[in-house]
Parts: sequence; structure tokens; C-alpha cells
Amino acid sequence: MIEGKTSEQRHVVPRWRTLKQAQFSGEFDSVRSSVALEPLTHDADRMRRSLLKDFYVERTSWLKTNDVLHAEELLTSAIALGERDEPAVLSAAIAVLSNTLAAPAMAAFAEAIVHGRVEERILPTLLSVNELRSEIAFRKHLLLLNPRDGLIAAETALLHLNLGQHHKAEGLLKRALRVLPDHRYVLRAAARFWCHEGKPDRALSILRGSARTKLDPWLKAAEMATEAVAGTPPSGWKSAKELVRSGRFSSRSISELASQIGTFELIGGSRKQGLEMLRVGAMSPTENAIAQIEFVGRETAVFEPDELIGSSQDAFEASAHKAYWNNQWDTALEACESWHLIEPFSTRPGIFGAFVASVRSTSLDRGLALAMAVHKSNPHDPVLLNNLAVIHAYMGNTSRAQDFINRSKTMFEPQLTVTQKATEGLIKFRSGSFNEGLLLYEAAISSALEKKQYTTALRAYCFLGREMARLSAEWAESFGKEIDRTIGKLRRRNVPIPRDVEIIRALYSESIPQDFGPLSLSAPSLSEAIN
Amino acid sequence: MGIEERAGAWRLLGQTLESGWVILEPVGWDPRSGDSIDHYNGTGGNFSVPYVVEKNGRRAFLKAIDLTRAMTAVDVLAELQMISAAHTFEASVLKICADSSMDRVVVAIDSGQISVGPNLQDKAPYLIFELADGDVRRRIQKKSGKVRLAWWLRAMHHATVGLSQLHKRGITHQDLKPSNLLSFGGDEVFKVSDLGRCTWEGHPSPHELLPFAGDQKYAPPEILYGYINPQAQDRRLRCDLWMLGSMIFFFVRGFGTTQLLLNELQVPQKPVLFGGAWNGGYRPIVPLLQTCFSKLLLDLEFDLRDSPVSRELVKAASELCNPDHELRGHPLMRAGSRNSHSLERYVSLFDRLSKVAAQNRS
Repeated sequence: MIEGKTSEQRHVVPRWRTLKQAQFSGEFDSVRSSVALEPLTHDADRMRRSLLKDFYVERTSWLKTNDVLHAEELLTSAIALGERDEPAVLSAAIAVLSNTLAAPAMAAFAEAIVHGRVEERILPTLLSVNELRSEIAFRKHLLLLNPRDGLIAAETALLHLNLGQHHKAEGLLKRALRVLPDHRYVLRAAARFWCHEGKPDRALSILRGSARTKLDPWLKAAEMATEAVAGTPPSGWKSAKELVRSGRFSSRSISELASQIGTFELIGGSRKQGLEMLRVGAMSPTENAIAQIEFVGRETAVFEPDELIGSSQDAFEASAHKAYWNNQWDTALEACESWHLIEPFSTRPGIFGAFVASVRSTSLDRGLALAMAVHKSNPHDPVLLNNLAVIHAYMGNTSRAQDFINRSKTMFEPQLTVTQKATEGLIKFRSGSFNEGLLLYEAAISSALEKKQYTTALRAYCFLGREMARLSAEWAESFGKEIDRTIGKLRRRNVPIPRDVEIIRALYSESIPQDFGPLSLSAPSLSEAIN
Repeated sequence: MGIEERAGAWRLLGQTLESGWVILEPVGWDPRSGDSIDHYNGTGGNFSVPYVVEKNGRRAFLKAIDLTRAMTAVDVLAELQMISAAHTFEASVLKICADSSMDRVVVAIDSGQISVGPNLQDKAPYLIFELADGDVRRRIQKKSGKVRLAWWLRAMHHATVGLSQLHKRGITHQDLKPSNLLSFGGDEVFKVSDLGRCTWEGHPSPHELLPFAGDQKYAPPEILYGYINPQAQDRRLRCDLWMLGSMIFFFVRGFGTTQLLLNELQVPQKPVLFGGAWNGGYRPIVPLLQTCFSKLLLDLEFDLRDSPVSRELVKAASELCNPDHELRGHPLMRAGSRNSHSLERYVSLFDRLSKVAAQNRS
């Protein structure tokens, strides 16, 4: 079991959310909206006064005549001006509602005034496959009505991706790009999509193809994050910093860019400048920026994330990791479930959630449900398949586990071979074939050691220990000691110890050995194998 | 200010004009106080006082030019000049309309000047129009079911013809809205009215320097977001197309397109003019407006679901009211280099659809 695609550093690769959610996060605000609104020009001021005058004239007419026509005229002004709280508007709305021949939008607006407007739910909800299909059909109908609606095309692509229909998603995203080649939402969606597909170069070429990327902090952040994913050095460093410092954009608009620059600065060793940027990023952060700042704080240990970021309604990724580091397993799993709702197609919440659920094996069913939900969108992701195999093994479904690990192995992923071998070892252990299990674990550990992947070897050894501890208390003790020795050795070499190793190690003492009869197993030594 | 202190236009009750018209009653205002109690729309309310007049048993509508505001203005001459220019321009446009036999535009049947005292402000230039049954807002309230659809499609057809007649003479209306579409002859005929905000290509008009002279609540999005197309006539024609399409939404849903669009927007994306916070200009907001517009089309389609003409009406609405002003108008006309704002295809369309709806009614 692995907690994530740990070879990847985290970057602010854009979130791809529904239009409503993106609007709520500030992604649709005008880039200059932070700056105090420009005073109305003389003409605009005159027009505004004229509109308000009309509104008051219509109010007077309605109050004097009680004629439903005047009620409708007053509501016409009210809907345009957003004037809903005026008592006369309420009485006009009541009159309109009593008119059985009122037109539908007029009646609906009157209804909203009289009974209050139902606020649209912004927090994401999990849609079933049928619901997703129905949402896609609905949007396709909108596209038939208005083929120039590039944003709906992009949102429909997102829904296809959530269903695991990558090809259809790509087609619609291309269509959106044709209609809106410079739109922030569409470009960020494209960057996210091609990063998700493992083609960050393609994402980069799309972002760089728009002149807007250099001028818009939301897009510049996406470009820098994508460059990091692609392994290319960040471009436009100076102009990116200028965008952050220009004062032309709202704190929300620059939060992701500042967080990404801050990440580069800290990782590059510029502690002061990095912290300065992260503080800017934390002023009015998006959920993605919060997750980034939390990640950098945790990874570099230069600052405590809580010092910079406050609570946020939807910062689920950050909450999941924070809870994990504080050994709050249930909170961490719950946050993973919510994180998954933000981007149902993303593998990360599913992989991490399955791992969190399996640590104490108390919420395996929830971990499985989460991983399966992510699997729906990513049926070929080898890490997810591996974690599904693990979780099934822990649940005792060894044949299902074997099925998933077999499928994981068909996706050729060199970095995963050690993990996959260890998972096969686990499945053998849980099937009662302890010797075979031990051999597979030993093979995994040897393979990691050959590649000098000491932490990977330690992780496999640790999980082997967990299995051995189920057999006898002596094994638990001897594996515990061996792990402690290895950790000590690696620490002296400044090798960071994976968090999950320490967690699993700590759980050995809680293991209650079961009676599997007489066993003749010999435990391998790890610390000596590390040169 | 009481009636006696006001200009002559307020004191015409009982007067007989040289042409024989007798001024019978005020329209929409209290003759004792001068207070407005109702709008009489359709012939414009700016700087004018409305009456019903009669001659030889025929009743008509008189619009007297009010000089009250000029009397109290800081710069009396400038104000007088403005009112005079507006009146003269409207009268000249109305004459062109009458001379061109525009049968779907409300034209003046008489004009002149009357004086009720020796002073300048006692004089009241006037225009007399056919008396309408009312505007479509009130008339449609009496219609329901299939009758309603056939009724308003005929109104749409006549409005399109009226607008087309104006366009052919280089006149853009700029203020087409439900209160400016009047019914005559027991709903047999509808005519576009109130040319007080119009412009006439090649002729100076009082409003020609304004990006948009009409009611802002019905203005297209490019105007609300501050984009001024430097090709003035092109800009005005596209505004007229928007307002014509907006009538479809009004008849079906009860609000015009502008109001429905504004209702879909959140404060950060609404124009400043309407209490919003958007200051990113017109072009960047168009994609989001398209998405809101898709929703409006869906709602329109839903409300027309039982109608045999639903598909074509929704398509017409989508073409006439596209939030992107460059995509507005009939696609086949836009594809041509000339006459891209022509309404001819919509004249035929609404004519045909109104007949289909009328057949379906019985």
C-alpha cells in the first residue's frame, strides 16, 4: 500500500471544478476586481440615476394604482437592479402571484421574493453514474441550443472524465478550446486534463499558446505548476513575481501563483523569499493554494502550516493531510471523501484515502468505496489498482485482491514493481501461504535495495513486519527492533523516513497474534543489507 | 409645483386646436395636481404631457411638449434648444415614416402648436397620433392558452415589419420594448411606437452621441459592459436586433432578455451600472454570458414545450439575442457581406409561425 504518488512533488496544478464551484472560488472574477471599483463615468452615473428614478416612479405607480401591470413593471426594474428588499417590491410580488396568467419567469421571480430565494448548493456532491449521465445529457442539450457556449462544453468534458470517458472528455475540451482559446476556465481545465493524462507537455503547449497566460495570474500559476510537473525549469520567473507584486489583482487571484512561487523559493533554499510569497498566497487562498501551503510546510518543516492558513470551508486536501499527520484517522478519511468530491476524476484522494482507511483497518469499507469511486474514472491507474488489491486483501477478499494486482501489473510502471511484488506478498500472507508471501516480500525488498531505494525497501519491510506480527508477538518484537535500527541508520544519513513507516511500526505492539499453527519462517535482516 | 405654475402643455384641457381637435382628457396624470398616476407609454414620456383628443367622433392621442423644465433650468436657452431639437427631430422622422407609408409604425396624424397665454412657456408644440387600444403588456394579460401564442406571434410579426420598415430608411429605433408596441383595431394590428430615442443615419439626432439612447433595462450586454462599437449604425442595428429578440422572451417568460440575463449573474460578474462589480470590460465576460444565455434558451424552450413552433422560436431568439453582438442576427444574412442586419427572414418567419399558431388555435 502506498499513500500517494510520492515521486511527485505537489504543485498548484489547477483544480477542474464545475462552473458554479469555479465561480464561487473566484475563478470567474474580473482580474481587476480587487482594485477599488472605478467611479462611474459621468454617463454611467447619469444612467444609474435614471434607472433608480424609473424604479421609484414605478414604485409610486404601483402603490397608487394597485394595478398588476404596474406590479409587473416594478418587478421588471427590481430584477434588473437586484432590488428585492423594498416593501413595495414584496407587495408587487404578492399581487403578481395572485394573477393566474402571470408569465413563468415573472411568477418565479415573484415567488422568490415572497418565499425567499433558494440558495444554490455550492459544495460538491457525489453523483451516481446515472446522475452523471443525466447531467451530461442536459448539458449536451444546452450545447445544441447554444453551440457557442464554450464553458458548457468544458464542463461537459469534466463530467465525461468523472465517468472515466477520457476520449469524449478530450473531444469536448478541444471543442471548448476552439470556441474559447483564451478563456481562463477552459485553459486551466485543459492544463488539468492533460496533466491528469500524463501529458504535461501538451498542457504546457496549450497554456503557452495563449497570450493571456503571461498576463493572468491564474494562468501563470497553472503554467508554472505544469512546468514543474513536466520537469522543465520555470519560465517567466521575473514577470510572475511582478504579477504577484503589481497590486493590480485581488489576493484571491494571486493566491495560487504566490503559493507556487513560494514553493519553488523554499525548495530552492530561499527561505525568506519563499515565506514572503506563501504569506501573500495565504491572504485569501483558494482551496488549491491552501493545500499547497500545507504541503510545503509539511515537506520542508520550515514553518507550521497553521501559522499561515486559517480554516476554510472546502480545504479538504489540506485537512486530510493535517489529520493524517496528527493520527486522526477518521477525520483524515472523511476529508479524503470530501476532497474526492472536489475533483472526482483525481486519483490522489482515492489513493490516499484507501491508504488512510487501511492503516488501522477499521474503516476498510469506506476506503474501498472511495477507491472504487475514483477507480470508476481511472480504471487503468496502476497505483489505484494496487491499493485496491491491498484493501481487498486486508478485508479477506484475496481472490479480488489478486485480480486487482494482476491488472495493476499489466500497466507497465517500472517504479511500481517493488510495491506490486510486496502487495502480492501481502495477498499470499492473507491467503495463508506465509512462505510464498515471505519470499515475495523478500524479493520486493531485494529489488528495492538493488536500486538503492532504501525507503521503499524499508516500507516493504515494515509491511512485512505487520504481517509477521500477526503470527507471533516475537516476530512483532524482532521486526520492530530491526526497523528501529534501520530508521536510525537512515536518519544518520539524512534520509527522510516515510510517515507511514513510523505509523505502521507503532501499530506492531497493538497486533494480536492469531493461531496459525507451527510455522518455520526466518525473518530477513534489513539494516545490515543497507550499505 | 401646481398646474398653474407649469408650462402651457399642462393647461390644454378643453382647448380646441386650429385643426379642429378638441382636447378631452389627460392620460395617466391627475389634472388637479399634475401628479403622474400611470404611464402612458408608446409615444414617449420625456418632456411631454399626454391627452386624449377628439375630432368628428374620432379619438386620438396628443403629446404636448412640456417646457416646464426649461423654465426652471439654470441654462434656459440650452434646455429650450435641447427640447426643441428633440421635438423637431422626432417630427421630421415621423414625417418620413408617414411619407414612406410605414404601416407598422405609429406615425403622427397631425402636428402644430397651441398657446394658452401670452408668454413663451404658455406655448405647447404638439403631435397627434392614432389612439391605440393599449400596449402589449396590458393586452397580453387578457390572453391565455393557444390564443395567447397566436396573438403574440402576430404582434412579433408586426413589430418585425415595423422595425424593418424603419431600418430600410436608415432609422434605428433604439427603444423597442413591450410598452412601445401598441395594439390597434381590437388587436388586429400592432405598431412600433415612440421614435423619441431613434437615430437616423446621415442626419444629426439629439441622441446620436450616446452609445445607447433607449431604456437601459432592455439594453444589450455590450452596452451594459461599456463596449462602444465605433461603427455607430452597426452598433444601433445590433441593439435593435437584441430588443426585437427580447420581445420573444417577454411574451413567453414575462421579462426581457436583459433582465433575465442580469438575474442569472452573480454580483462579481454583473455590470457596475446594475450594482455589480465587473470591471473587466465586455469581451472577457461574453463566455459567461453565453452560459447564462444557454440557460435562458432552455427555460424558453421549456415554456414553449407544448407549442408546434417551439424549435423555430428558440432558434430565432438565440440568433437575435446572442450576447456576442458579432453573432447577432440571422446566420445566412451575417454570412453575406451586405445587409447583415436584415430582418427580412424574421418577417417571413414570424408571419409563418403566427399563421401556424392561429391554425393550431382552432
